[in-house]
Amino acid sequence: MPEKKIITVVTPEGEEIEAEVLIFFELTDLGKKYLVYTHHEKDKNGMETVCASTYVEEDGKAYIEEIATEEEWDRIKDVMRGVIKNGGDE
Amino acid sequence: MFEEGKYLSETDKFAKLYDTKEVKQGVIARAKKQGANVVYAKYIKFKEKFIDRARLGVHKFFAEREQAQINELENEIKVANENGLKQIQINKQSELKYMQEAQQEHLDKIATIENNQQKAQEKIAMMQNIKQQKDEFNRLMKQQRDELNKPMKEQEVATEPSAEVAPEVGESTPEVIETPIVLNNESEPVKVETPVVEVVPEPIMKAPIEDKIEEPPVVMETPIDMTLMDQQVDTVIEQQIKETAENVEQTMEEELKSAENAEQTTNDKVQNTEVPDWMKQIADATQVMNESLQSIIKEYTSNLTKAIVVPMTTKDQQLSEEKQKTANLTATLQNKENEIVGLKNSNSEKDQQLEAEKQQNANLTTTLQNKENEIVGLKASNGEKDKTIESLQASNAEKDGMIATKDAEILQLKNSIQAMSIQFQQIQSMFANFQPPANTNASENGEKTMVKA
Repeated sequence: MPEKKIITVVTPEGEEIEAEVLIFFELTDLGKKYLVYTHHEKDKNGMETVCASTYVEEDGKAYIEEIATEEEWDRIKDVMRGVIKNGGDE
Repeated sequence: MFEEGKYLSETDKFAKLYDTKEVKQGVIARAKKQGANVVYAKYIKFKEKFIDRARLGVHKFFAEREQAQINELENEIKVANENGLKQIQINKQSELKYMQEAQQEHLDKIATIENNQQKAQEKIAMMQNIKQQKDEFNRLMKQQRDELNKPMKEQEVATEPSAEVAPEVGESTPEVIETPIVLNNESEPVKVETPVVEVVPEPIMKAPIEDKIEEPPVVMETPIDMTLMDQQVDTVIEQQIKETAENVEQTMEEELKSAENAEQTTNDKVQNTEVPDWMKQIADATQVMNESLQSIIKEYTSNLTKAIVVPMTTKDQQLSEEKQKTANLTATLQNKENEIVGLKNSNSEKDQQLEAEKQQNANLTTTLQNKENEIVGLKASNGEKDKTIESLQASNAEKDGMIATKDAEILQLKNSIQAMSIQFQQIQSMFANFQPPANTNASENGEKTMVKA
């Protein structure tokens, strides 16, 4: 079994882009689920862009949407930090 | 719908982490349009190693939580076993097996990621090593070149390049090194062909001349007018040719003259004295030699003159053309200068015109200002007149009022007069009816006449 979870994101323009899911979690107090994923796009400094979206399942289909508020975004970043911290000792 | 997530209590007590395999394979981005942008995500940037840590973090988290559950299940199985609860023991063992498999899955993924990280680090270390070797090699090559170039500069040599002495510098047969490389999770080793360069240093004096080419070129900071230089060279050559030709001719003439003089002297001597036969023979032979020499010299001079005159003619022609060109250019330049002078004059005239126009404008502005001042004065005067008119009108109105009053008074007086007149008439009629006895006489026609007192 591959150690990476690769999904296909269909953009609003109809383009299909592969993405690797890094973290999938729920903020239970908000009742919302979130995806943290990457398209493996690097900038000129070698930094990789990591995206986060709200994850919704409706009628058997999965959708991702924009993060609604800055408070949500801050909590998502906290979760990312926690997971990354758990993944290494440095 | 989802398997039971696990809370990340250290980070956010409400955050529940799920296994990424729960996410559907295909997701549709539902975007809200914000201006020109279509937004369905927020993003942040990380170094690649942090991405790996995020991957590891998720799996480690699940593996730890599953370990805790495994411990708990094992404890429960032990209790069930001790108490003979077979069915519970079976159920718990089934759960335990499932949990162990799930944990193993995460542990395998952790191992794979760590293995890939290890390989990547090895690859990086190897690349750094290769880079260091390359740097060292470049440094050595530069050092060697510097050493090779030093004597070459000092001696300005003259060693001809030879194929035999060329150093064996260059790429030899590539050596294949098996290098493990991390690429899209493929952990299979990838063969990388790394060129290995061997350097065989040669003795300094055998260095090829090509090495000199690698020296930085001498920078000529002063620009040289090559046309001028060519002209100068041509002039010098021409002058030398002329001088040489003249000298040769002159020398030949002098030699001929001296030879003639010598011959004449000899003849004179021969004529003036009796000479022996052998001397005559010598004189004849000398005569022949002189004639022969003279013809050779003439021919040589003629050829030389021809040889010199032709290039001279060409040079003269070129010189003439150049002079013509120069004359043309000078004429053109003169024309341009004249044009410039004309333009300058024209500009000067235009400047004068402009100046005059400016003066006119200034005058007009002054006039306009004066007119404006006049208008202001007239406006002020008009204002005063308006005020006068207003006061006159007020005065007229007042007088009209007075007239009206007077008219009323007159009317009243008229009325009074009228009344008085009526009274007077009444009085008159009263007087008319009054007949005093003594003073009343009857006329013949019977009319009565009132006699005034």
